[in-house]
Amino acid sequence: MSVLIEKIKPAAFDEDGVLVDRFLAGDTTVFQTLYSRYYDKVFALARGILLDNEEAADAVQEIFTLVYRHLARFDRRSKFSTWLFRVAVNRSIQEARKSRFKLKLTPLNEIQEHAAPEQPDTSDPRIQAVMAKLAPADRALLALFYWEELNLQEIADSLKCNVNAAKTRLYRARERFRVVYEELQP
Amino acid sequence: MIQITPEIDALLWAVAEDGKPESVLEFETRHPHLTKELFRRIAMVADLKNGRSSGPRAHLPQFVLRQPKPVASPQAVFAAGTLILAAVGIASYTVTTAMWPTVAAKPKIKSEVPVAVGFNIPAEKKVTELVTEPNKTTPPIQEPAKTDTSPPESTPAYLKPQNLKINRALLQDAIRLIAAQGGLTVVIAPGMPNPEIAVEYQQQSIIDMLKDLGKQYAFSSFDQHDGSVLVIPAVDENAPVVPKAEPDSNRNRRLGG
Repeated sequence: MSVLIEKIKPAAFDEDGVLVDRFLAGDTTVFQTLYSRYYDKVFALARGILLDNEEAADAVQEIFTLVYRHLARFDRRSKFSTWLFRVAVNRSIQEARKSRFKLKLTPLNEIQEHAAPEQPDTSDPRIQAVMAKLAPADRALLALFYWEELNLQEIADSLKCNVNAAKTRLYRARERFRVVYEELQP
Repeated sequence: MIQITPEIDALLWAVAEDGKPESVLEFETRHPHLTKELFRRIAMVADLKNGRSSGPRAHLPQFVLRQPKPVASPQAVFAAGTLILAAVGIASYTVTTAMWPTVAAKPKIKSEVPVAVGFNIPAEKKVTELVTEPNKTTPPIQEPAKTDTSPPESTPAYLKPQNLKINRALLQDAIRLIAAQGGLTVVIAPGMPNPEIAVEYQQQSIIDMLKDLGKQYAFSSFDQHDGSVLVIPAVDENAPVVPKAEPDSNRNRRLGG
């Protein structure tokens, strides 16, 4: 009997979909559940693109504000998480382009003063140095693939492109990463 | 530097990302010369995967719904762009108009025909009828410009297109008149024919008028680039050579004999 129940149970229960339905029905309290569930992933993604804790934390608030306001636009052709990552990637790349020069011109001691103290940066400084030399779009691809461990289809959905395009972009981003990585090797 | 084909490169990445010992071993067996490159990529992929910031979260920041940032509408951006373009256009027009000369050219129409050194023009054969039509688009010389279409001051008067009509005049007079119209002096070489002519030119420069006249009446005009034009009659190479008359040739002539 239990085997039968297992068989008729949906392969992947879309809990996010239920929360989205409840939110759209007017129960705005469930948004906190979505927020706490995905905060770390969205923060890591924004951090990977922006390379700055404080800016990433700020971007996450912006991203969830966008999601809160535009959740009705979620068309359910992909998972909620994929749609959320698309919003996160787009917003973070936008922020990275805006703050590109600001980051270059900010003195090092100033960065340390403004860094969020409760979120110590444990990332590998060598990898951060390489990532800093890449374009925000390349950083987004590498973060989605290697850090969020999304597959090519999910990356394609997140970037709103087809799988082949995602594969090509990822290959090029990885090649650019390799070139800079080998340059910075001692 | 080892050359790696795209297929082998893709295989290297696949094995490096897979990381399974059996895959690595198989690759090493098939491509022993790429073992070093494979381990370099395995190390890079491992570094990249571990490069993620994974610090412990002290607490989940409270979600605060923010007010949407005001974003300029496309219409506003378009309107602003149009205004800027218009301002730049007006400024450019104002500046360039101010740089144009306020004094424009006026055709010099002399009542008396200039005479080249050593040449006398018979009084009865002077110009009898001359009609000049100043160029409508080119303001006259030494008068304030009435239109904005006048060319810059740097263009010499004899290069500007002009209209000219001569109903009846001697060729040499006509040449001098045309040259005077462009502020040029003329030096006419001896032997120049001097038939009576009638010409009309529309929108042609002085130099072009002289060239055209030269084709019609067999002479060449040379711009000396010092404000003068040298006019030389063409020499017919096929013309029969006429022997010079001896000063005392009449001595051998017998009258009535």
